[in-house]
Amino acid sequence: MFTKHTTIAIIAFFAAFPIGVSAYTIEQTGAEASGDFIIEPAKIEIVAEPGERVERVITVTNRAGAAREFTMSVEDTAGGDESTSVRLLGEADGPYPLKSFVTPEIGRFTLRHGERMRLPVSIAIPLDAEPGGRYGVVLFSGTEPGGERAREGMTTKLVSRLGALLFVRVAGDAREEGVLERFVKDDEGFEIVFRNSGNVHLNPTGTITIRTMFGATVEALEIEPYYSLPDSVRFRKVAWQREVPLGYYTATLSLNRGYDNLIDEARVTFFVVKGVSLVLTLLALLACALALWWVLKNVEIKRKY
Amino acid sequence: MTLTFVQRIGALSLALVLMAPLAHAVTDEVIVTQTVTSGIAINSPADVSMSRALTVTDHTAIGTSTWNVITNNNSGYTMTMHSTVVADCAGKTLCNATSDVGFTDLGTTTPATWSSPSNNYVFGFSAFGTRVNTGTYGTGSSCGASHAPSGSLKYRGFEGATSTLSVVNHTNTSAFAGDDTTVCFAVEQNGAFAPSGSYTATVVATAVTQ
Repeated sequence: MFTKHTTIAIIAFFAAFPIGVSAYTIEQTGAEASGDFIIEPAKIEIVAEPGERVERVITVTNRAGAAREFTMSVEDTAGGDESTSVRLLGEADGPYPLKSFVTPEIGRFTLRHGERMRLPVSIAIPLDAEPGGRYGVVLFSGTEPGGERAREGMTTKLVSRLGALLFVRVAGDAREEGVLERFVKDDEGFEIVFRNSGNVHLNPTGTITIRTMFGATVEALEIEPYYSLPDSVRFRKVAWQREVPLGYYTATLSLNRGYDNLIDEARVTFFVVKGVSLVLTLLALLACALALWWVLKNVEIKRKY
Repeated sequence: MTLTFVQRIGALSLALVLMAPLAHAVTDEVIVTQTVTSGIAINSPADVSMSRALTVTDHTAIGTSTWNVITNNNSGYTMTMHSTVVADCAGKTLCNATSDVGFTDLGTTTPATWSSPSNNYVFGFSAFGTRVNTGTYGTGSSCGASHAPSGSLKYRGFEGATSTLSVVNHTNTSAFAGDDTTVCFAVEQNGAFAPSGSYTATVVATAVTQ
C-alpha cells in the first residue's frame, strides 16, 4: 500500500515526534468555588528496597473559581525544634536527602476551576542507599495564568503553596532511637516533647490518663500516632479544657516510642481551683469556724460526780 | 379427647422444651471500615497594594492579606512564609526592578514592636489569627490605622529566600471552614527617602501538615 519511501518517512516522523502515553489524568469534579486548591494525600510514607522505584499519586484540585497555573518543586526537609515539626530547606540539601530521588511526571500544569489532576510521582531509591530515612516535600504553587503583570506603586505579590510530605524508609537495619523528654500541664492541656536521635522517623502514640486524688479515672485522652523526624525534637500539644471539680489530680502519660514496643511513662500533678468552688469552700470553712466559736462560747461540758 | 387447662399448659411446656434446640440464634458480625485521606487546602489571596504611596510628607503605609488553610490532618499543620530575594537588588525583598533599589528588611530575628531604624526605609510583616502565637506576633487584631503599623503587633523582616519563617503551628485539624491567618505588611521611611518608583516583593505562604 505504501511505497518504501513513504514507509520510511512515516517511521522517521514518529521517531522525531513520539506520541507518549501520559499517566497523569485530569477530571472535572464539579466542585464549588471556594477560592482555594487542595492536595491529597498531605503525607506519603513509603518503605522501599535499595534499587527500587516506587510511584505514588498526588491529586491537586482547583477550587479557585478560575483557572490556575500550578508549578511543582521538590525540596528536602528536616526535623525542627519545639516551634516547628518540619523545616523546608529550599535549595539546600537535607541531612537525609530525598529530592534527587523524586521525579514528578510533569512540572507545570494548568487546571480550570473544578478540575483535579492525578499526578504520578516517581521515587527511585539508589542501589547503594543505606538503611534509614529519606525526607522531602513535593510543593505545588498556584498562581493566575499569564505570568507577571506590570504594577504601579508598592505591591506585594502573593504566592500560595501546599506541600505533600514524603517519608521514605530504605529497608534494612535502621537506627531507631527516641525518648520522651518532657511532659507538662498548661492552661490549655498538656505538652509533650519527644526526641528522636535515630536515623529514621518514628510515630509515637499513647494515652494520657487523668485521675482524681482517690484514683478514679476522670478521662483517658488518646494520642493518635504522629511523626518525629530523625535528629530532631517534636513538640505535641494535647488539648484538655474539661471542667472538673475543685481538687487534686494526676495525669499519667504512657507514650509508645514507635519501635520495639518501648513505652515511656511520665506523671504530672495539678490542683484545680475554680472560682465558684473556691467561694463555696471558703464559705463552708467560715461556717465551720462560726459553729465552733458558738459551741465554745455557749456550751459547757461538766463531769458528773 | 379434651384436655383440662392444666394438661394444656403442661403439653405446651413440653412442646417448648422439645422445640428449644431447634430455635437457636445465629449471629454474624460485619466489620465496617471507613478510610479518611489526609488533605490540605490553601486559598490564593489577591496581591496586595500598600495603603498609600510614600511621598515627601507621607512616611508609612500598610497592607493586609488573609490566608485560609483547611486540613483534616489529626496532627494539624504549619504555615510558613518567605520572600524571594531579588539578586540585583542587593538581596532585598521589596525592590524596584528598574533602579535595583530596595527597602531594607526590618530586623531578622525575634519579632518586636514596629520601630524603624533612622536614616533608612524598611519593609516588614506581622500576623494575627486564631492559630497565630500571640507571644511571637503580638496581640493586635488589625494591621493598624491611618496607614501606620499596629502598636499591638510585633514585626519582623523576611530574612532572605531560603529561610521559611513560622507563622502558624497548629496541632489539630483546622476549623471546618478553615483557619484564617491575616498577614500585615508595613513600610516606613525614617530620615531617608525611598527613591520614587514602583517596588514589588513576592511573598510565599506554604502550608504543610505535621
